[in-house]
Amino acid sequence: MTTAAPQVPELLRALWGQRKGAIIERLERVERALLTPSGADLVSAQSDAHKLRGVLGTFGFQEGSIITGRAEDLLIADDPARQGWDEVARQCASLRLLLVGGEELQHTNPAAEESK
Amino acid sequence: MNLSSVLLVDDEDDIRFVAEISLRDVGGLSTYVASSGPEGIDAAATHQPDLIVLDMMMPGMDGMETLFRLRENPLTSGIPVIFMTARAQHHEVEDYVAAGALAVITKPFDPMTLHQQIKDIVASLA
Repeated sequence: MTTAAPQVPELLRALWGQRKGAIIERLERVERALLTPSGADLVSAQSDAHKLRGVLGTFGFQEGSIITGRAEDLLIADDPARQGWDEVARQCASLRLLLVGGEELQHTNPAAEESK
Repeated sequence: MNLSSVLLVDDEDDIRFVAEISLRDVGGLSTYVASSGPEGIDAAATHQPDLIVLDMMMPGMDGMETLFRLRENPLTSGIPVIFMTARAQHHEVEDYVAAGALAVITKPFDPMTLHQQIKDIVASLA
């Protein structure tokens, strides 16, 4: 561990604060595509879901990566029956509300934990 | 292999920012960043990092094509590459390793331990 490690959770929190708005907008686009696929750019929504899948868990929102991973899988499969699309759209909406509501990051600071 | 510098190549800003914090501030590594395959190839030739962490799915030149281009250039052909992806089936991971990647790291990653994950992969080759 380096001496800089204790600053890392703060750096991540600051970064989350800067990026949160764009991430929520991206999530909203995925949610909209799942709810109204006929008018949506599904390729773009698939790309949004893929990026969210990679990034949300990295910011500490593991459940967010799982939900957006489901969205990505549905958008890639593009099943004409749209089975499960409404359910995952609801999950995206719940996640979005959680993020809008200011859910805190889950990252811990190992150095601080060790010193307790 | 001595690991002191890493080049991160990812088109997603958030991933680059978090991975850079992880490798630089947690892991104490020198980091360089690039946001596309072509940019990564140039950065690899210029900075000669000890390792490249390369996103698999990027628009334009994807990770696999970037790896092939790196291998064609004598300046970059010997630099080890680890792929990073949010979506990889087991057989795809095998394909990536067969193509010359050291390993595949799955996104999302934990920024508090990413550096150690990478160091462990490198150490396992010694």
